[in-house]
Amino acid sequence: MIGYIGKRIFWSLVIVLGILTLTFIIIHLAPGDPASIYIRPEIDAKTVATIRRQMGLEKPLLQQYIIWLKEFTTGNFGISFSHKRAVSSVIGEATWNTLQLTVIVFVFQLIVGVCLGMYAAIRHNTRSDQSINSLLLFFYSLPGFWLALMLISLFSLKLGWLPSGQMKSIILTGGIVQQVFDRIKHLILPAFILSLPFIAITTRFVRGSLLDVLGQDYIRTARAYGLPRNKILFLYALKNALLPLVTLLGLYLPFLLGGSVIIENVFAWPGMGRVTVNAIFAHDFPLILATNFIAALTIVIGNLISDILYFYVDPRIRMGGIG
Amino acid sequence: MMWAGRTKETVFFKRRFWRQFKKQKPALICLSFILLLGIATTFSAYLTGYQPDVQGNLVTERYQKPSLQHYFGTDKFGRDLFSRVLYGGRISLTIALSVVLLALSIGLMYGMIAGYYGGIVDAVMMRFLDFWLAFPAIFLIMTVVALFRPNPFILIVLLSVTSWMETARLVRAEVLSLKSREFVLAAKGLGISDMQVLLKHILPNSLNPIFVSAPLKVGEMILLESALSFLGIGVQPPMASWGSIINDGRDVLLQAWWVAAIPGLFIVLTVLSFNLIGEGLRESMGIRK
Amino acid sequence: MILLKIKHLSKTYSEKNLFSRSRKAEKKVVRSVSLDVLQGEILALVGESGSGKTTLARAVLRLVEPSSGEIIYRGKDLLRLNRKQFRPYRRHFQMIFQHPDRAFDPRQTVAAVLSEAIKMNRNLGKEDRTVRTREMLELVHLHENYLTRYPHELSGGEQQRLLVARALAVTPEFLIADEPTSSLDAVVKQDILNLLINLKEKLGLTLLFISHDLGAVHRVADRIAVMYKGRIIELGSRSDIYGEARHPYTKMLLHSIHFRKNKTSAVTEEHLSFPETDSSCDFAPRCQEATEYCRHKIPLFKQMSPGHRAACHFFQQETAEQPAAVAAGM
Repeated sequence: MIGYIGKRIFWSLVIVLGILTLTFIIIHLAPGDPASIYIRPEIDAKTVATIRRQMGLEKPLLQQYIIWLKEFTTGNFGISFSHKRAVSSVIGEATWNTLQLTVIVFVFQLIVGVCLGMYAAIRHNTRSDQSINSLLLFFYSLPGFWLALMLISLFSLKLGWLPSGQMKSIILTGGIVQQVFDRIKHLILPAFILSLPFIAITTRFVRGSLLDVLGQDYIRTARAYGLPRNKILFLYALKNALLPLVTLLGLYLPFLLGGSVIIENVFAWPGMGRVTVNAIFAHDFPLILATNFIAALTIVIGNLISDILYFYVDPRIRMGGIG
Repeated sequence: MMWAGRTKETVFFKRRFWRQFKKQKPALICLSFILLLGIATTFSAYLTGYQPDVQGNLVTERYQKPSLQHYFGTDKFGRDLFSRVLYGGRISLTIALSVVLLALSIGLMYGMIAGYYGGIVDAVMMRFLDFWLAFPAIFLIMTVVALFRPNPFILIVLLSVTSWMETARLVRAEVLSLKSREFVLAAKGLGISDMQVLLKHILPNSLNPIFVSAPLKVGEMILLESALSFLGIGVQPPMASWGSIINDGRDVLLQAWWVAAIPGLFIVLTVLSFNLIGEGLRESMGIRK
Repeated sequence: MILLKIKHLSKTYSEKNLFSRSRKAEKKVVRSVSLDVLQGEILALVGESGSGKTTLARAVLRLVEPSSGEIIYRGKDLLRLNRKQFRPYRRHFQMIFQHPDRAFDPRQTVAAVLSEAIKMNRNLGKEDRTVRTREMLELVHLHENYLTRYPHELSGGEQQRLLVARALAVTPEFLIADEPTSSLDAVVKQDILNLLINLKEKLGLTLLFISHDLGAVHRVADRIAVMYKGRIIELGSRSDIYGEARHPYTKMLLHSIHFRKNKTSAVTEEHLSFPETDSSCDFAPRCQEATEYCRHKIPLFKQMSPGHRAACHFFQQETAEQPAAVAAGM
């Protein structure tokens, strides 16, 4: 068991190192002196020299790489030009904001997806199953940013029920309750839109695995013994059908991050996605590389968690069958 | 001899496939829609008297409502939206189709090599694939776009190199299972060379899942490309794609809803169609999800 | 005359991993098998499923790569050749696969199946090839209008015939039939056995007949090799085996033809999963006569009478440390 988890952790570290290396290569592949992407014309010559020295550009490439690696892994990502402060502090805030959005989305899609999936499995091959399937296909085909614009124009611009963007109202009075309420109002639209494709995936997954489990011999035996249908469903089938779901968590992360890049930009949600896109337009390279790295790290950790959960869920792995 | 050769077999398979596919009514409707859209976007110049990038009179022709003159209205430069949507569709479809073609080819080759050679080659290749899969595609794309000015070519390459992994896995699994199948052993036993066995027996029998996944991938790529273009890091002006046209309408949602709404509707219909075609293919090939 | 000399052939499967190659996961499927195949004979290989018969056959044809050993054919060790050098030899050895329904590319018609095999002979022109295709069908008594059909449209017996036709299309010297009758019903089984015997005579083939059906083996085989857990444990002529089987396992197999539910022949999961060791008789856990000696020493493959060998401690007179008693009735 230790061997399995140890191997996964080792592999995750290899991936992180690979990502860092690739990032380093990308900086050096960019046209011109690597310093030029860090240095903007309006900065005076003294600062330029300092930055060049800090980056160690006169040293051999391998040494540069090691220095850069050391700085990067200790959280020293440099100074953001556009925010005029440490990249780590910009990212810290942005990560927290993205986390609020994604956690809500994750929980919401899980609840809706599991319910829909169960319903579709119980009613499988009926008309309601088919309509759910069509609905999911539709969710899956919607461009989130466009749906966001359409819903903003309806609920924010026309009806004025919900805010059209940002995390909080500009003029905010009242205590903590009002603040939470305000945050929820700002969350409704982005969270709903971001969760649609995930609802589609989860529902399909739950439906599929529930149908699989229901077709298994032990469930049939239970039915043959005359146990009531619902009891079977909730006592035996559901547990075994839902356990594999935990492993999807890791697989959702890249999509969740990718989706939030787009949604955050439509709703001006000051999270990682928005920070990154703004950094691109500002050519704020320290920030871009850092967000890139954090995103990769998140995905690697997500995969690691899902591998470990998988290990606990699937007894075949626990017994040491699969390396 | 009329019965010899390969053409007859393929004809049989095609016929059997069509017989099944013809039963998939929604998929057929979608296929016709896609074909129609393809023709319309390719020959858009003959369908409308307007040029997609020619500005109209900025006083009289801005933000005109959809009418018989401008089927989809006009944008803030007085440009005819109908011609722009068709033109943008051409770009969006071309990019998405090229990406899928490229990604499938990469995935096919990668998966075949890994699956066929097995052993250490396979292990190393799969580890690399895992690594690539852990890489956040959209962030990589954004970084590269920030360094180089985005153009459709870079976009196609970037989207392809970040989306071949799933196909490679599919193909590898197929090849792995096929290569120990008795008919492949039998072909080897006859003395047919490895390369011939791979091309003649393994490759054709591993194509079905790729075939099914292709339309779904096209849909995915249309969504991704339009999102990037909407954010301004995809297709750049003066070129336009559906995503960038929607961006044009972003600030005038109430005054000129059509600028954002209509290209979006096209995206929804197109992606939905590709997804339904994929479902239809899956059904008619009897592949379980 | 010896056509094929198999010497100490082994096949070991191991779980390979990029980082570690564990010894524990090794599975020895064929263990140091030595066997001479005589020109023109029908040699039967019998044993229960999982005994390594199919793997042995596939290893001989290098459809799976043997782990070690030699295969001498015409004075040459075939295992020394690399894959490319070996390919021309493939024509000389053909195999009829166990599952006729899985042995054909689902995308090929009967005609394509045969012409692919016939094309391996590069001397034939296009005309000759079509003539030859018809000949092959005739040889296995299949009608010509089957050419446009797909193998999956044929019956099991017809598929089996087509398999034979394909194998023979490359004019082999040596044919391995892997359980050719196991998926067929009794009447069709007889047809296929007759076909194989007739073709063997007509074309001067040498046949390795793999089966667990001792009735069929009795009909066709000249010599019989009995395999257990990857080793050959008894080898002899048909009369040797059916008349004076020596190894308790062979006796058990023969017994089970007559008494289906015999106590000694009961195979349990426990028996099959008993690990192969290199320090005891493999059969000891199932053998009623086994002594402590059997559990601690591997029996040699000893000659019983000319041409008849068995690997059992009870018949190894020369050995000084004999088992205490020879069971009664032997």
